[in-house]
Parts: sequence; C-alpha cells; structure tokens
Amino acid sequence: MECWCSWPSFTRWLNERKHDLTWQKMVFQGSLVLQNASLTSLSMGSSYEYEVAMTAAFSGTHKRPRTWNLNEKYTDYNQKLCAKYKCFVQILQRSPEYKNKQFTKNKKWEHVELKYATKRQEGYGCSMSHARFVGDIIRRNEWVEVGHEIFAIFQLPIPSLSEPGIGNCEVRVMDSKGGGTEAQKFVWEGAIPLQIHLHDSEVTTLPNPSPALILAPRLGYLPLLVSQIKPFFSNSLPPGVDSVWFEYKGLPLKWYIPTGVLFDLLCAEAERPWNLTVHFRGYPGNILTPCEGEDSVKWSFINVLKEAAYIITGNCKNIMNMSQSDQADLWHSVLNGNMEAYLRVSSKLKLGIIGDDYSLKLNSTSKFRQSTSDTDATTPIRTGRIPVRLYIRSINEDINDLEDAPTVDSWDKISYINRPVEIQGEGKCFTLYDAVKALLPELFADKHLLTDNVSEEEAEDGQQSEEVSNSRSAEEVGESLTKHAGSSLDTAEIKVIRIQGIEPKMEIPFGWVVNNLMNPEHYLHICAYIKVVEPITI
Amino acid sequence: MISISSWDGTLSAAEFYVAACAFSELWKKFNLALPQWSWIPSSKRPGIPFNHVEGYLSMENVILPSFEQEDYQGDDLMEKEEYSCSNVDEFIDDAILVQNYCHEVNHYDFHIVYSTSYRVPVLYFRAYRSDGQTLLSDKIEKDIPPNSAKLLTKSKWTFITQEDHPQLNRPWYTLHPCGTTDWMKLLLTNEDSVGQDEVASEKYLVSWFSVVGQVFGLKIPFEMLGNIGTL
Repeated sequence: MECWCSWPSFTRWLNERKHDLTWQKMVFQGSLVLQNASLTSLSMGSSYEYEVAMTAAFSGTHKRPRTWNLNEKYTDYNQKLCAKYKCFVQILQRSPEYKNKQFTKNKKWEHVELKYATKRQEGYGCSMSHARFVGDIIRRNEWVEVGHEIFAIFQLPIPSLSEPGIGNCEVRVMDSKGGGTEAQKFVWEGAIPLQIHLHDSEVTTLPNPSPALILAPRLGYLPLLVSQIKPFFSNSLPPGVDSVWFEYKGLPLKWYIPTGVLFDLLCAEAERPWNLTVHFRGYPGNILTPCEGEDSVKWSFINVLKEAAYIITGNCKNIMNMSQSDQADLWHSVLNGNMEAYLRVSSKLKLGIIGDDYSLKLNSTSKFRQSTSDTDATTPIRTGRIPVRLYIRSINEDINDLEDAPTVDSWDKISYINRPVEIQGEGKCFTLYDAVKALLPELFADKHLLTDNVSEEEAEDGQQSEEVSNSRSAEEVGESLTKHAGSSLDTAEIKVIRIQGIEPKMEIPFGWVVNNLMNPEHYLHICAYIKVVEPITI
Repeated sequence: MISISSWDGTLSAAEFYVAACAFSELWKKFNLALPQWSWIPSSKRPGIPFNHVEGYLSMENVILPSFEQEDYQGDDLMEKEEYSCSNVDEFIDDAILVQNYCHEVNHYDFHIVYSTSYRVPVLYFRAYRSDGQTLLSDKIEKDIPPNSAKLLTKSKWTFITQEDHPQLNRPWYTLHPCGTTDWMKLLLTNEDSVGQDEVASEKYLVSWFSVVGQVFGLKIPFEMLGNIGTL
C-alpha cells in the first residue's frame, strides 16, 4: 500500500524509523517535467521543474512497529511510503560530446532511479544508478549530497541510432522553494530605517539639507549605501575628494561590521529611525581602517568568509577555488539582499549546516564522498567549530531600563571576542546558553556545579530518548539568564543577548540559532549587554 | 609538544604562549641588533576577568635594514647599532645612526598576536616617522625588500591588509594568515634537527618568524633555528 505525503513529513518519518528497522532499500524515482523547453535546448544555468518520488521500503522483524505519524498502520513491514517532492533541476554543465547534438523532439525522461548506497549516520546518501531515456539506459554517475538539496549527476546518451554514446549533463536537484527557512527569510528581509544627517562642518549651503531617509539591510554594510545617500547632500558638500564615514553620537562606525549588528549593539533601546551622521571629509584614519567604497567592503566580506571557512573546514580552499563568476554571484547576492541567489551559490561552498537537535554534528564535506573529478585528496577534518563574533557592551551603572544605558563614545568600551564555539556534549542538546557560556566561562563560574550534576544524571539515564533529556537540561539551565548568571558571580551579569535584533530564548538549540541567524559570511554575530558591578576594594 | 606525523600546522593558545616565551628568550640570547620582544598581556576587558596567559608579543621601534644603499650590507648595519627597547616612547635620534643615512628613517612596531580562528600567530605591524606620524602603504613599500613590495601592490587585499588590531582596537597592517599552516608544516617537518616524532612548540615561532621576517628583510641567523633545546 502506498501513500503519498509531503517531503518534510517524509524526512521526519524516515528519521524516526532509522533506529528501528533494517533498511532494505530506498528508491528514488523521478521524472523530469520540462516546462517550456525541449531537451534540445537544455541550457546551462536554467532551471527545470522536476518531480521526484521517493520510495522507502524496509524490512525487519525484531521490533514492533510504532504508530506512524501519518495515521497509517502497517502490519506488514514490506510496505512502501512514498513522498512526492517537487524540485528544480538546474543544468550546470555539459560535456563536449553533448554540445552539438540534438535530441529528437519526442524523447523525454521516463524515470530516474536512485539507489540507496550506504546508510550513514549523518544522513542518507543516494547515488544515481541510472536514468532511463525512453529505453536507453544511462550510465550511473556520482552522488554528491542529500538533504535540502540532492545532487545527482546524470549522463545522457547522445541520441544516435547506431552508436548510443554517452554525454554528460550535470543536473542539480534543488529544493522546490529555492531554499531558505522562515527564519532565514526574516533575517534577509530585515532592514533598519536610517535617518542620515550631513555633519554640520560639511554643510556649505543654506538651508541645511534635509536628512536622507533610507532602509539599510541588516545583513549589509553602511558604505554600500553611499550611492543612495550622496544625492541628498552632493550640493552641500565642500570641494574635495570624498572619503565617507558614518558616526553615531560621536562614535565613528566601523564599516566592516554589518549594519544590523551595529544597530543591535549601539542602540540599547531600538531607535527607529536610527539617526546617523555622515561625513564626506576628514576620515579618522587613526580609528577606522580605510574604506575605498564597494571594493573594500567586498574584500573584507571575502576575508571574513575565508576565516569562517577555515574555522569550519580547517582550510580556505573552497573559497580560494571559487570561480570568478561564483564569487561575483555571491557578492551580488549579498549586495542585493537576494537570499535565493545567495543560498544557491553558498551551497557550493559546502560549509554545511549544523545538525538538528537530534544530531548535533556538523554536516561538512568530510561526510560526503567527493566526486571523482575533485582532485583534492585530503578530506577536511571535521572540527565542530562554529564561527562566532561576540560584542560586549558593559554597563557599569545599575540601570533597570536599557534605554538609560550611557552612549558608547569609544570602541574601547566594547569588548570584542572573535572566537569559534565548539559544540560539545554528544547526545545532549547544545543550547545558545551553552554557547555563551563557552565564550564567557568566567561569567558562569559557579554554574559548573549545577551543570555537572545535570550531566551526571543524564549519563545514568543512557537509555532515555534524547528529547526528554534535552528538555530537562534545557529547563534547568535555560531559565532567566540574568537569574542564573547573576547568582553565580558577584561582579557581572548578562542582561541581554541580542542576535539579528531578537533576543532568543537561551534554551534554543545553538545549531538552530546558527543555521537561521548567521550572516552571509557564515559568522554568527552576538551582541551582549553585561552589567558590571565594580568590586568593593578595601 | 606537537606530534609531527599528524600535525596540521596549527598551535593552541597555550602552545603559543610557550612558543612566545621561548622565542623572546632566544632572541635575547642571540643579541641581534634589534629591539627585544616583550610579552604584553591582554588588557583588562570590562566585565571579563584578567588572564595573564592571553596576550601578544611586541617588538617596537624597529628600523628595517636598508635596501637602497649599496654601500653597506644589511648585516653590518645591524651590528653597529644597539637598541634598547625598555622605553617604547623613546625615538631614536637620526644623528646617532650610521652616518651615511641621507633619508628619513622609518620606525616599525611588530606585534605577534595569536588568532583563535586560524590557530596560528599573525603579524601586525605599523610604521611611523620619527615624529610619530603614521606611514601609509606607499611609504612602507620603499622600506621593504622589492619582492615584498611587489606583492604588496599586486595582492592588495590578500597579502597585507589593514585591520583593527585585535587587542589595541586601532588600525594596523597585518599579514594575512591564510596559508601559514601549509608552510609551517613544510618547515617543521623537514627539519633535520627533529629527531623524534615530535615538534616542540618552542620551535614554532622561530621557524615562523624566519619566513615572516623576510617580508621586511629581517633575517634571523641560522644558528637560532637549530638552537632550541639549548635554552
């Protein structure tokens, strides 16, 4: 008996059953439905709608079946569950033999069978066995990855009656919506309304020019807005060469910090619109590193991406080896705030996503077999390190309302920690709280006792399902952050943790936070407000 | 200790501290005509307890060996001068230097800071005139050996960049650390003096500086490399 369900339900269904049953085989079937294109015109870079049907078949008698989520009861293990999954196929490359050949019009894909290769702990690998092309068997090629995206490489035969040669056509099967979770969309669409004033010293006309009102993307950078801002002020500027810099209440703003982070850090209480001052002269070279416009920002972005890649994979190769066009696409997707385009290009970098709360393992390329064309012999070592930048604003006074926090007048008042977080605790849920604690262990000194007790209990309950132990530890240590941190150390207390403008609950799995709230350069930026009480000295 | 066979070219923060101490000791021992290295602990951060092991190595007030005049060899120049680095605010008077200096002398400060991201040391430097005014890259170009100068202009964004000094929070120049592990692995796994299957962390910075220093024409004597273990 077959039953069709949606892709997310199917993966959840699979996930729940992997421990119970012995997998016999899993078969993916798909048929390529071409829209407005015939196979003669499969063009590079274009996408075609593709329907994939996944069938899972299994056998195993040593465990009783659980009740399936889909309200179907199976008494016979040899059942099938199929999911219909619509996705897009993108033609990426074709071999020379394929180039000048033409397919006859009525040829189309019949179906494609992907055989399940080996069961891996990290995910399901699948490989292309062959594809049918109206009777012609197409040779198998390599599998690359499964998950949000399924990469499959097909080989199309060159249609010739006498000699069915082999052509190559790399086809990428992607998630139907182009990827991106709700939270990611929220972050990518986030923007901060700015009201930008020209500094008095640079106003040469009367009346003063009115401020520029623009929307600055959270994930963007202030210098990228100059082309939008300049028209408002160009008439007023004194003669000379422009060197643009921004300032908030006297503090020159570091241009390489994403706009959203600057806002979260410097505006204790969200100020909308955010009033900034722009300068076109007198660049403070002793405080700010030079910025020569879009190029500076782009290279800074790429260098930070390299650093993140190094942290995640142990080397910068995947960034260094990016093609010029990929690099350009990546940068433009960030420049234009285009999430789909970004996800498409960045997925090629294979920096992976953090596993869900059941399996906190980093999905890096080491898990997946490299395709034979890849000459890189070394498999990157999985380090489990996550790029994080923590910005700490300390408030010395005892204030109840963040609104009353004194303005930051110097970057010396901000502590900046650029240190990777290592996910620890196999089987346990590593939460945001755990991550902050890993970055600022001194602030949680006494908490060691409490968490040690918790982990001992969990070790004893080895048999317990992960969900239960997760929620238990999360409850115990994830309550009000201030309450716990404050009670442990006399001298400091975390008041607020702010990421992408929100204050996430500390018990949220850190993997979720990173996957959904990180910036395009793969760094998670965390702003923390810490209340510091000066110790009494005798 | 780092085991050679599986070594990836990185070192931990603790190993960096060991390496830094060993490096500065050795530097002092060899009494090169260059200022001493001193360990500067990280400054106290608001709300964060002080940890003396976190910090960086600093060598300040360096005058790079000259490349333009053919009258002297770089080594002679260094031997004639003695610097004391105890007071970093003290600028060297031009008049004390070797007599034929006809152009302005530029001073360099070098900091070796550990990067937790790359897990290697990173060089930060700045250049300034005798009157304290900061130098821009076009002037720095004239001080460094021609090969480095070429690299400086060619790979503008990837070789030497300007970044905020991680501890001092001011713009400094830095040598990009990407690739450090590759050549460190080569250096330390090819050393004859490595008898056993282990590499002392102490050796790290000496070897590292033997490469990095060359960007500025600062060569360390070969004996220094073979001298770990005699400390």
